[in-house]
Amino acid sequence: MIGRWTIPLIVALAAACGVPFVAGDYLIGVALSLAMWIALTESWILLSGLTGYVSLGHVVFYGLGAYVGILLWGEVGGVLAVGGAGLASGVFALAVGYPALRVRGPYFVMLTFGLAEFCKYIVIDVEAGLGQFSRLLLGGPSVLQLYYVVLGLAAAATALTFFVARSRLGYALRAIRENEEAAETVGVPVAFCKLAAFALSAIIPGMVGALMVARSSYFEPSQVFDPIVSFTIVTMAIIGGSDDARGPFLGAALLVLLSEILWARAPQVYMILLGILLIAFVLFAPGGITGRLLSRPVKVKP
Amino acid sequence: MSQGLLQLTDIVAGYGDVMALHGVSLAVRDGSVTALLGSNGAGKSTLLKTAAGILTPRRGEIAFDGAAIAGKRASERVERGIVLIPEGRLIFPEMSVEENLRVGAFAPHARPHVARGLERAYALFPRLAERRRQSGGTLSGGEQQMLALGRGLMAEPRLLLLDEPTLGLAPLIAQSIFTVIERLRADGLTILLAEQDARRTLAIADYGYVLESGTGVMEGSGAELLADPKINSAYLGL
Repeated sequence: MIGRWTIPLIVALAAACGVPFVAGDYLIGVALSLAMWIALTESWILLSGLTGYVSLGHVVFYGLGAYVGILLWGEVGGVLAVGGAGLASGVFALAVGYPALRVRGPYFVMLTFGLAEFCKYIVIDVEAGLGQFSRLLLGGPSVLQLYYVVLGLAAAATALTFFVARSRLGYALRAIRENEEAAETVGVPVAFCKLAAFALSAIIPGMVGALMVARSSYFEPSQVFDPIVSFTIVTMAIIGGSDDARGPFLGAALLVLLSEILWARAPQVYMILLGILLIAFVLFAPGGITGRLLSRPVKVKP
Repeated sequence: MSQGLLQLTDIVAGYGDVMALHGVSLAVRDGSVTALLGSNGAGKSTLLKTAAGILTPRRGEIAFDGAAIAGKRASERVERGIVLIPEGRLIFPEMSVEENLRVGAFAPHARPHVARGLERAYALFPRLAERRRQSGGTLSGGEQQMLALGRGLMAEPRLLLLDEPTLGLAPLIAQSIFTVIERLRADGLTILLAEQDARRTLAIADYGYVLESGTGVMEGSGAELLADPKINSAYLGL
């Protein structure tokens, strides 16, 4: 597996690093957005793809990271603000994960969605109480700098998901996905493993959130906690294939491309097409592009 | 009764506000097969889950090999050698037979012995060896029960908690499961066996307990219980 995918991935990464040398600001912006979605979707797969606990509130980590980022950036500088944002999201995941991960299936879906909305309104209220309705971030890094950092995070998120999936923790998460009670009887520390996956999936979105605030140069709670972000992540994962680390590349690339082509000219068509794609994949190719097109017969080891 | 390998004392346990066990005490001697009899809903599964740490008792003490383990999590108990084979053959349906077995050796103390465990499981159940590449969900009910047993053995247990291993199986397959249980006992494994088939269970059990509505109502050696007129009328239909 490593052998087959290492070279294409290195080529893709090298090509991604080369984008700014041949592209203008517009294309760098598109590439930045693609890298952002890959980072977010990869981190979602680490939790939801591997454990089967489908989160519809992944934006909460992005939004919290954005908030912590904007609060810290002017005080301590960009590097520490981004690190602090990732740390805050990870700590938040540890704090809410234990109770949240006790419910399964549709209840977990609704709980994560509700949690993200709840946090959004808390932040809106806190900001309103402080007399702030949006915040500006001036003198942030250039698009080019942001692109390289987010690209690095996308690569890190991919590597993290890839290696966790193949680790002892990944093995445990897969057992939990297939039958949680059976996993417990064979000695998998179920609660601990789920919490670890939840926290690991939260850190990178937190950092990305802080960076994207720097990109748009202002912070507005209802935008950084927008549930559409969560829906888009899930859609990208389903279209690309949520079973391993390869899926998000295809899902994110397809949707970012569609969005760039259609969003400005025909936004309604984009949303309709998104819905049709999602339904079609769920019905006819639940394994996504990777599951459908790239899967090969299981090799029988001697 | 002498101190057992597993000792449950005055266990009260259940689900939410509904208690399924009301102060049950039980001992499993080292190297024995101990039977746990009772009708549906008597509390047999609850007792086994409590012993395995899947369920936390409301009250009572659990000792394994002399150490109090009531506060230990399920994974820590597996590490000590207490392994539950749950009712209903909870296998991993998408994993192959061999992967199912390998996951059974998840506990740190069992990891170095995967090769030996696989060999033993395939020797006990040649059918699993034939189907090692097949996914668990495609196996028949009897084969899934064999897989659940084999997977439990991969954890290198000292005490096996077996919850209704022959439930819903064809008579011949059920018979082969009992044969395997006797072989495991001969290999020195200690077994606590919850079963509805009282006659066959008592025939191989050294000692037995009878639960009724969450309370222990009777105990004795396998032969004593088999000869008891109340047991005869209630569980053997004679």
